[in-house]
Amino acid sequence: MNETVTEAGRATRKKKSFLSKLYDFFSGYLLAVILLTFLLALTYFGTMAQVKMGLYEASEKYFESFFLVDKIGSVPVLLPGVYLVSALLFLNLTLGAIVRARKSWRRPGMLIAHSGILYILLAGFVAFHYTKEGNMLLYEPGVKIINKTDRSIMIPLPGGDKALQPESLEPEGFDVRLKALQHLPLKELVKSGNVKSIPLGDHQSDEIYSLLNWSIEVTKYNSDDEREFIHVIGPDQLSGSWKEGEARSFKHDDIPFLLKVSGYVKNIMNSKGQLPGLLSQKQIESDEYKKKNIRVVVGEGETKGYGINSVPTNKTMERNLPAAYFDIFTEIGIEYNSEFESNIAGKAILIEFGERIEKNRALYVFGENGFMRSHKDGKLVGESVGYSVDGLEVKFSAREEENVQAADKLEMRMLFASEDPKLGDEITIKDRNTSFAGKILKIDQEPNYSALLIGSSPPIPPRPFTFSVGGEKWSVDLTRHRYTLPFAIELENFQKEDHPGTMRAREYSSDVIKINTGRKVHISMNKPMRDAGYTLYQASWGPEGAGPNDRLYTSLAVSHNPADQWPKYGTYVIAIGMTIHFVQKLFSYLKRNNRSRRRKEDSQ
Amino acid sequence: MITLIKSLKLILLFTFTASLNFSAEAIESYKKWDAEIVEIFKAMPVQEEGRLKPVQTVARYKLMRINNSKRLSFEVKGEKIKVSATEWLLDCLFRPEVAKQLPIFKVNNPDVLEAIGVEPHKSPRERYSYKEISSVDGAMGKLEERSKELEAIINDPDKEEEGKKARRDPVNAGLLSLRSNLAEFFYTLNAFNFARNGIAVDLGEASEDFKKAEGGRSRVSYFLSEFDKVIDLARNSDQRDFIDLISNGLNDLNNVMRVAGVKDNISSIGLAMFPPMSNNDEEWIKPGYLIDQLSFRKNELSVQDQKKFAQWALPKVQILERLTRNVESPSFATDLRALSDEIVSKAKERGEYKNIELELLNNRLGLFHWALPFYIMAFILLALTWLGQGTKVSKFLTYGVIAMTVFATIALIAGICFRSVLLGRPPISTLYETIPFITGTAVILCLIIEFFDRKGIALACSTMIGIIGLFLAFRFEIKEARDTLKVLEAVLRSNFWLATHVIAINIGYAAAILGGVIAHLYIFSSFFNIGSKDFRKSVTRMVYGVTCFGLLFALVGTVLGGVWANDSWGRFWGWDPKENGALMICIGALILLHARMGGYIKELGINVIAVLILMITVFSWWHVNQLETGLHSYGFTSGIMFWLFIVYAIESAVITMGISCSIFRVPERKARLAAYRLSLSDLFPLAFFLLAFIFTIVFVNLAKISTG
Repeated sequence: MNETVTEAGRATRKKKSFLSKLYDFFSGYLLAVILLTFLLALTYFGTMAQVKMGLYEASEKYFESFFLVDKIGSVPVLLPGVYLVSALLFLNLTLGAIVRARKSWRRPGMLIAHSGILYILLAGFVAFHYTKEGNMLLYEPGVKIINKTDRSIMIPLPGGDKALQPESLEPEGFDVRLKALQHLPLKELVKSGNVKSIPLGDHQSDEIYSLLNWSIEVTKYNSDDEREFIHVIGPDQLSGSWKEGEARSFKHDDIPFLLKVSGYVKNIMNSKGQLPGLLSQKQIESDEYKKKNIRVVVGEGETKGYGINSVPTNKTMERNLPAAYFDIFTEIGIEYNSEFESNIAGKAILIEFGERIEKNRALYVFGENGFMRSHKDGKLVGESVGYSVDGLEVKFSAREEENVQAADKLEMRMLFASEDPKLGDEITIKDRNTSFAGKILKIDQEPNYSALLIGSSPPIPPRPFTFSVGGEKWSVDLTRHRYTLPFAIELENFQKEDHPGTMRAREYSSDVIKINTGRKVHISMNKPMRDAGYTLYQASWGPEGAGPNDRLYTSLAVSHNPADQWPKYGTYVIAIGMTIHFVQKLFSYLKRNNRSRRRKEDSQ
Repeated sequence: MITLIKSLKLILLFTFTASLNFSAEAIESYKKWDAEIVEIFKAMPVQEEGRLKPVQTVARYKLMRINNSKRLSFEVKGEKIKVSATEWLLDCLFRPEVAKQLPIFKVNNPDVLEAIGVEPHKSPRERYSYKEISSVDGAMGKLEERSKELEAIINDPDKEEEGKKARRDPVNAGLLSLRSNLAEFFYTLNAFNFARNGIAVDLGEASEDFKKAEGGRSRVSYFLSEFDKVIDLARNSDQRDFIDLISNGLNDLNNVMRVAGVKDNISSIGLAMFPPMSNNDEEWIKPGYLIDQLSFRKNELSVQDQKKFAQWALPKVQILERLTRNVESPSFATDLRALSDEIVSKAKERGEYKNIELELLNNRLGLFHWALPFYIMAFILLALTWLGQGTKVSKFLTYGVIAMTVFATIALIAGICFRSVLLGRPPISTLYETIPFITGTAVILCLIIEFFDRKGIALACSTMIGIIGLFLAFRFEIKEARDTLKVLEAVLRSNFWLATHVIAINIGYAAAILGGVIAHLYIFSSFFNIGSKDFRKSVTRMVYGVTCFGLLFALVGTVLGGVWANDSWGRFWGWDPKENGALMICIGALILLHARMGGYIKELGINVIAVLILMITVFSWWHVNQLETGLHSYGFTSGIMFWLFIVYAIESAVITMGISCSIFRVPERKARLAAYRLSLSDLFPLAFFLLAFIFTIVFVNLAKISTG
């Protein structure tokens, strides 16, 4: 406490500059106490909130946020999130406990302990931002090999190409997985023998799936019915809240159709594993759901005649099963009308969709299937197809340009990307000097294919919706977001042992082989496998309630965390620092105590 | 001394376990079991919940689930009779008619009984016998019907809220609990029915081939030994009656077999009392399984194996038949001994019996039960020393207090070690085990503090903590009524982590609780203006020291927990409630230390925050397990909420007292009595108002929770 007195004393003697006052504040005990108090309160609120919200949502709200609004009683209060508090605490610790603190070799304890805490906070930051995790599911080796066409992966041979290194793990939305593959001259590599394509059994795997995130996989097949490439519409593009009736459309250069996803619901499953969110046509037409106006899929596929309705999400996020309607448009038409001015000149026009679209100007692109028709007094005066596209500029032929100028109504057909056109949307067409605006009057295209897809989650094999466009086979699927590992794992043996006479697991473990190096590892509870920056843990097994003759699978949790072992070292540092400090304090207290006792005895 | 301990124990049992119970409809006579029989029976090994244990342990927890106590007492013609759990189990298995009359069912809520049409006793403490409940027309049916309805609501995933509400309703909870107790009793009662009554088919009547049959019924062993022949005859017979007879017999066999317990790994029906035939098997065998394998599952084995199995299994069925049919004869004891010798020698051969002997010793010693009366005596002696402070007598008595506390603590530690050795793992792995450990740690810490600072403050705390901790342990054991020696889930089976993370965190809990308890002394002293400044300074120093010690262990323990989690499922920190609880203790202690360093709090502040940390520790230790969420779900318990809120209310009151001290500091007077009056009269109305306010808030919340 002496320190404080002197500090306070000094403060009154000298007038401090604003900056040094700021420094004092950020390195001071006051901020430490305030931050710790916030941390205490937030941890408490976050813990209690888990009862209602579940761990995942509560963590997101309280522990991963900068700010949050919480109701205390019925009064909304703005609170800092644990992320912000931790960041400030890191600053406070660095300035106060490391930079500003007195450094004495005789009292090193606190410096050491605080460094340990800083290290752990840093580890938390790195882990939060850079961890990738998922699960891998491997069946016990058996005769059953999954259909070759269903899954096959590229395994780099030892010393071979590095194309499948962790870059392919980037969990960014569109077009991630196998992007690396796509840009590889795949067939040449196969020929030169650097990469071998082998069929995988269900006891082998090179991929992990996320327990929380979902993605859409758009797959193209070659003439041998093998997967040529997969485009992934990642969790980022599916996340956020889906308003009722909201649709999101996706388009990519390599894909000759537009995919419209609508009616996405986060969950259709209840805690018993039933699907109350999947409704038959009869249910939808019943009084209970009539008002909701639920869409029934008329297209093809297994879910024909069904519709979906949102079910409250399970608190355990992994147990939620999403579903959505998928519409595939191979061609889109828009009829466009405007109060036409005839003085338009110029060779190019720029298409914009008003302010709303400003940010996404590139979304509407004329493609091969697009055309433009000019009308005057209800008569077709010109038609143009196959014009070249260069960014946003669409060039007309000289003849068409005249027609455009003379027209009082334009009709356009175009392919477009991820904005869904709606009736009444305003469109502005610009040339260098002038612009004209109009509204979408008609969207005349029905989807070519429609399907209702339910999320497919291992161990249930995926059941994608397949269709053909231009004679080529394609499929779309709603799956748990998958990452490819830089290596493949084979399950050699899985053991499960219960306590005698009970269903309580005493031990379960997996013997696995890393395929490309032949490394054999025994993974058991509390004893993970660490390899190439990845850690594989024995997480669980299945199927639930399996009998003695059922084929079991092992579920390995896989994580890639650069700060994996940091907290362990941090703990040692903290333990050493605190022990030194408190032992020193104890001894000095005992010394003082003895002295005062002796003094007392002397005086007596 | 022994009498004193016994009488104290009696008082305790009376007050806290409410085990002294009398039935309104006393049974007419009760013949005690021969001591030799009881001795043999209680030491027989049985496998239950994945662990081999003596029958005594099984019987104790079975009875505890139904009766809320490890023993049974009732009156027969004015004479009080005490029956141990082992004797009660003997009654159930071998004298079911007697067992049905024993008053064992505890029903606290008279509405539960009224709901099924049974007239409640006058005193809620009185137990009900099986006969009493089952003899009321339609009572069992009503109970079954109501329970089924309730279960349907509770298990419906679409009616989560409704289910929660239904479960919280005291009458519903009482009904479900009564039903489950009755079911457990029923299955125990009828476990040996197959041996006692045989099955309702007279083979002799059916065919000339079966000479040994007895009027109207067959012994199961005989039916099983002739099983192939019977089935063959039935198959080739064209007599409808004969086929009906045999199929009825098979139905009957199936029923008695199910009650005797088959191999299904799920239900707790039946006693797994026979060591398996093969030494490679770990799972012990229930009698029903013998029947199953000799009849319905016979064809799963080769003909040779069938013979081998029959040779092994039939004598076991026969010995049970002999036992159940000759309960009153002197051969009962000999037969039981023969059976026990066979099982025990096999268990010894398998290397499984050593722990049974150890567990019997543990049961007999009841070390935790010894510790409690000593803590109580120590506390009483300590109170006596306060009366004559400074005198020689008081000094002498203080030694007595220390001796008793040390003795009690040694008993406590020995008990913990016993359990550790029995299970072959570090001392803590279940919620129950944390209680004696934390109690022991806190008491030892107190004794260490007392060694340095000989003012008797820590000593007083040690006895208090000892008493409260052990009471908690006993109450928890009764509440759970499950064997506290448990086998562990795969993830917990790591002696390294159990020995480091779990122990560190529990030492942290112990220190945090101790700090809070000591801080009470400061707040009371300040509030009521008792005790010197020196005393308060000492107390504060202790609180500070203990908090530092606790922080070291809590922080290291918490982070080690993260490291463990990282090794078992790849996540250092998952914001799981239990993790958060531990983190909150650390943060609380950090706030205390940093606020003190910054000069924002002085003595009073340190003590008030220490009490707050105590509350956080209670939250983390008990409350989070009530939240029914998260990974650390090893300790879901119900009905603890009420006591938690009591603790919160009291501690909030203490904190309010502390804060009020800082607002209304009364100048200290030299004449303590005068100041005492003054401070009390000054503060009382305000403190009363504040306390009333806090209590109101807490109880309104409590009421909200209990009514859903």
